[in-house]
Amino acid sequence: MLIAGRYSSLVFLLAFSIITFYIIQRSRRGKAPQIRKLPAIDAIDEVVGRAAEMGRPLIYTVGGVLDNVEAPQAITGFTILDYVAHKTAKTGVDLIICPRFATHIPIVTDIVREAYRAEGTLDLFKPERIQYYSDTQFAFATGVMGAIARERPASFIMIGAWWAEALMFLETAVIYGAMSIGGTANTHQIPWIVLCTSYTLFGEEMFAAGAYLSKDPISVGTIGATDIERYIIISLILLGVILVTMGIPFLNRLLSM
Amino acid sequence: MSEFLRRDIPLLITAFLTLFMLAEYFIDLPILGKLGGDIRSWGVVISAFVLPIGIVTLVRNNVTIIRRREKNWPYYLWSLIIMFTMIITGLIGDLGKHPVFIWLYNNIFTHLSSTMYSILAFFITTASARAFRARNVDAALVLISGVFVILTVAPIGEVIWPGIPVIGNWFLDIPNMAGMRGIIIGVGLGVLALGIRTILGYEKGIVMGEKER
Repeated sequence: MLIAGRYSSLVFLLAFSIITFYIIQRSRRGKAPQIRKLPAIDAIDEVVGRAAEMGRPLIYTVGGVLDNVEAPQAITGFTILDYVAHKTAKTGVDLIICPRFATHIPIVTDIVREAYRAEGTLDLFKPERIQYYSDTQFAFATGVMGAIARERPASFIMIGAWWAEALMFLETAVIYGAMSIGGTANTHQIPWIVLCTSYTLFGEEMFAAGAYLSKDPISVGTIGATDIERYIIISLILLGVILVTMGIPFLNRLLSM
Repeated sequence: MSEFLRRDIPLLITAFLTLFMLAEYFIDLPILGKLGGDIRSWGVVISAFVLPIGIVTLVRNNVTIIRRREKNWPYYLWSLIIMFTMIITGLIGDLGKHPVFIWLYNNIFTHLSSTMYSILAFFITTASARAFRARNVDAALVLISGVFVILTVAPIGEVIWPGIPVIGNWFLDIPNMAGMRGIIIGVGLGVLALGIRTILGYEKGIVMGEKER
């Protein structure tokens, strides 16, 4: 019935889900775990404030297709966009959004419109500032680089799954003096994003952003659960190293089932 | 729009499809495999239907900017001209076979894409130049490991000293690999947490601008 070679994955998925639900229940009872600060998220207020003080726009771009493994990164990009749009609606900062794919357009439009409506500044919402260029990688990269060069934004935020285009945006942002925040879970782009941005969200920080921004104890509970799961994985790695060194490949066989 | 339509229905669909796709991955049942394949095809079809939304958005926004003669409006006009030239020539006769479309694709689009990609070489150089300033211990470590890795992949490295590729490959295979695997494990756990939050309706990104609860 179960597919061979995936038993251990299923056991881990179930075990980690049970741990997460247990921590969520604890959080509901008022025992929410503490999570460390995420400087890149805290810096959003700073980059929006910078744009407001300088009277220049803020460019925001979301990356990642929605029908494959990149989707969680795109969802994080939308979650952070919601927060940024509320801030720009309050401060009157000109928010320019460059959706990476056509599938993002209705989502970002709705997020930004609702944020402006919620802040009572719907008249400041400009649909033409949602600037879609192309689904093609380098055509999109050219569009964003052109937008940075023309609009001279005070701040630039890019969150999502990025490839070669990431360095193009960020170096252009450096050239035009924009303060930037970058976020990705794509390991091959992390070094460049760390190098070229003022603040970075990388790896699992990306997926903690939603919980961090909401401050909701249940959401924060899911982050606390990942810490417990991390200790389990580290323990298994150490146990595996010791067993293999002793010539006992028991754990390897168990995990490859 | 009611909260039921705006929030609950999308979340129910997301939760059902997530659990279904998980079942398809773990359980060996032909019916699950077939339905899973169909659902993936729906995703492709939905994406294809959304592309015209992109075109409409682009046209609407660009026309608004051109009509108001806003700053840089000629760029927006040029963008529309190019887009419609490619669409019209691509649709004439056999799809994408018109000589003008093929000429534009092979002689303009391909070369512009290659040019954009090659610009990366300059960006990598300028970004590396900033990174390789040994201002503190961390930056010095980046500088040292970076020099070894660059000389490892460049043929001249082995000519200078045969030990360079050995050290460079050690940097790549041991500290670099360990760091990357740590990040990947963290990403996996983060995605699991995000998935659970999404199914439970606590992740705002999936419910598109939901009002504050």
